[in-house]
Amino acid sequence: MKYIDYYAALEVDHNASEADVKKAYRRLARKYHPDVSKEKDAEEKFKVIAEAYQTLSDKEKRAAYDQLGSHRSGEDFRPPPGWESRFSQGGMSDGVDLGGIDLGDLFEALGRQRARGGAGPRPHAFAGEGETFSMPGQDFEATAQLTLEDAFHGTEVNLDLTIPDIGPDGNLRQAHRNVRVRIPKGATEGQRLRVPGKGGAGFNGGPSGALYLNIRIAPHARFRLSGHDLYLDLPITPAEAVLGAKIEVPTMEGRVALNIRPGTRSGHKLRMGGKGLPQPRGTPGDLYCIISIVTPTAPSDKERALYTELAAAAHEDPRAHLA
Amino acid sequence: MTDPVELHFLDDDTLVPFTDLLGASGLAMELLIQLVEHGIFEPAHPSERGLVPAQWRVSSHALFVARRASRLHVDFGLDAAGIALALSLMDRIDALERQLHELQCQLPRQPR
Repeated sequence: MKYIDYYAALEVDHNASEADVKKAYRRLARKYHPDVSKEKDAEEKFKVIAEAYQTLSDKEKRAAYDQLGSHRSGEDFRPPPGWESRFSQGGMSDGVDLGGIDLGDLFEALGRQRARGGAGPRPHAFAGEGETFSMPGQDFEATAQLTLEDAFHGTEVNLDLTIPDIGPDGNLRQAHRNVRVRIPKGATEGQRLRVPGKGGAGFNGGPSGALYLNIRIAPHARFRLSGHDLYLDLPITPAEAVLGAKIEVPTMEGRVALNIRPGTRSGHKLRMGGKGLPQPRGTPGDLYCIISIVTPTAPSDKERALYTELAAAAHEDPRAHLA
Repeated sequence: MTDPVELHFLDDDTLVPFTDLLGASGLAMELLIQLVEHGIFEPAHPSERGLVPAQWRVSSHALFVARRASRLHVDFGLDAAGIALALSLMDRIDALERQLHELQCQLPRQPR
């Protein structure tokens, strides 16, 4: 089992009072809670902070934690002999393999045993003798990172989940599960999906938890994604802008002809209806071409001569309103 | 290999029974009802307004809202009023961020 320094996580001393621990937790929760934080890795950081608080804010758990001794964070360690039988109240006996679970799960299990009155005889520590106690499985949240192409066509992803649940022997264990899910087309950045029954297994007839999936779409070299709409930079020449043109633009389904009207300006937004991402229901999003007029960087002598002629012939003053 | 599992979108079009919020969030019915009183949840069909919340159907997006409410309750110790306030502010931030992102998408990138 890997050691985690809960005092360091909460940025408090080993002799911090209960009030100090609470204060530190509240300060850090506001900073790192994934619902309110924009900090990088907020979710992982908050998980440790919450674990640390759950352990250190509870007198008995804190005592049990302190008895683990001091180790470096991340260091592999085993609880000292007799530790489990002293603190786990029969949930896990000495010598039980703790390698598969982490420190947070261990302390969560201690809390659950106490909430259940503890002292349930092994191997059914979580269900006392003769009781018909059942528990729903844990919900699980995961993130699927898709390419824009995957989102457009729909895709299948394999999720490797590590779900803490309770084995048939009543002990806590880390279950590895591979779940293959079909992501229907129309999922977009920030979309949330749910799979009932694919979270942790329920115990003793309790229903399985649900799997919640958050969709992330990787940035695309060409298209920018907003909701179900796509944005594409479309450079055109000054001549195409003035005279109009029929040009080809890339879309998610190949190249499509687009009419540039005479007098098109930089920043104009040309909408190609229905060429964005499909929606699960209803009309698909749109593709917007953002026009930028690109001036020649190295005009030939002939171009320069023609532009000079154009300049002399120009009869519109674009700065008239600034006069 | 087994067939892949089909996922359900959490959105405004898919409806779920209000009582699904209990299991999804772990919140007590009492707190969920208080959140209803703060305007956080409402029935998807206005015709169900006359019924008690336990008989409502709500948008499946409400599952996400209820889970977020639960995190605010457990992790920050907020009561219904605090949760409702935080949720409304988060909604506004989400809307503003979407708008900002949409506007940023319209700015041409510096070519090369």
